[in-house]
Order: sequence, then C-alpha cells, then structure tokens
Amino acid sequence: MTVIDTAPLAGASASVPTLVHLSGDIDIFSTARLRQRLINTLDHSTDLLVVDLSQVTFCGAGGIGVLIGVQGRARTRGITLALTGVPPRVARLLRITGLDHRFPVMA
Amino acid sequence: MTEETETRAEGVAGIRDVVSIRLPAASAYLSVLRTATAGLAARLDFTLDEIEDLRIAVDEACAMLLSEAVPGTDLTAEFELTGQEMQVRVEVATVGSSAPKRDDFAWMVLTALADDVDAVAPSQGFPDRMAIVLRKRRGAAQRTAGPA
Repeated sequence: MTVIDTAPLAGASASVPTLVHLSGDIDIFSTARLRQRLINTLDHSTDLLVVDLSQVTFCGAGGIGVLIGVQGRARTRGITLALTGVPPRVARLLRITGLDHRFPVMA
Repeated sequence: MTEETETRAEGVAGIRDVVSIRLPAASAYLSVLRTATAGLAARLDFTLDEIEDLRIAVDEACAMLLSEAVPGTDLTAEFELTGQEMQVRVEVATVGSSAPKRDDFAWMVLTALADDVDAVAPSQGFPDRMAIVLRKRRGAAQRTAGPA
C-alpha cells in the first residue's frame, strides 16, 4: 500500500481540493500506516480531501474502517472527505456494508 | 457390507481436492493467502465477483483470527474443493480466548460474502485452537441487493 499525497501547500485556496492517491492492497497489514498517513494529510488539507482509490488492488473491512475513521476526524476539522476512482469491487463492499451513502463520490 | 455415500454433490468437473497452506500467523502473509484463494476459486470456475467475495471473506476471517493468535505460531488454511463449492477452514493457536466476536464489522462482511460461516471456539478437545469455517458455492444467489 502506498500513499501519494499531492496536497497543495498550506494556505492554498480552499476551493482547490486536496487529492490523495492510494495504491496497492489495503488490508490489516497496511491499515495502521494508512490511517496515520491520512491523518497527517489532514494537517495541510483544504476543506475538501479527495481520496483516489483507482489504483487500490484490494480493500477489506479494515480499509473501509480506516476511511470511516479518518472521515470522522476530518469532519471535526471542517474537512469533507470524498472518494474518487472507486473500483467496482470496493463500491460493492461499500454497498454490502451499507456505507455507500457515507462518502461523497467525485467523478 | 454397507457403503457410505457422500452427501455432497460432485460437480461436473469432478474436482475433489484438499489444499493446505501453513503460514506464519502474521498480517504480512495475508496477501499470499488471498492470492492462493483466488487461484483455487478460479480452478472451480467461480465468477470474478465470487472470487473477489472469497478473497475478502478469507481475508476477514484471518484478520479476526490473527488478533487472537499467539505470536510466532502458524496460521493454517485448508481449502476443500468440490465441484460446486469451496470450503475454507482457517485456524490459529490461541491462549484461553473466547470465540471470534460475532458483532465485529469484519464478521458482518464475512457473513455477507460467504454462503455459510461457522466460528469454532476453543473447545474441550482443542482448548488452544480457534477456527473459522466458511463455504461458498458457485452460482449461489447473492444475499445483497443487485447493482445500484
């Protein structure tokens, strides 16, 4: 699992979303690291954090749990966490868990 | 002389194989088990969605067990392939643990993706073993709603 953070520098226009690209497998081996990286990203995120999942090759319940947890943290800072590039298999898991309406999805 | 007949139906392919895999009980090895799961499911002609369901289900079962596993021990996975069905039993060594938690988020996902799931708690005969057994049949109806 890798995280590529293309967040604009602090102080950038709030109208510019902060984009984070995730790739690889998100499983219990990588969730702790992912959670920390995403929380770090919140420190310099604009008020819209977009997480790109298009290169994610595996995501289980633990991965969904991280996204929910980070979304909660983001909200307390006034940041909206949205998803983009959701692979069909991840979309299906979100649907199965009834969490598909929890995340705004960007085209 | 009586002859025992196997109740489980044999598929057209006639496959009846058991594959056992032993790995360190550590999360770093789960990707290996997921890959093996996908390869074995493909052998039974499962659809891509069914294969993905199995990969996630096996991953969730292992994730639940690893949190109870004794460090430095092994996780064993036994895949039983019959024509239409795959049964996977994953097992770890524990010390005086309770049964796998059925109110867990991982358990919810696991039961949604597999056709049947049983948690085998440490018992009289095997006080230090905990296992999860899951089954998935090819072409079984999905419990979840169809595509949105």
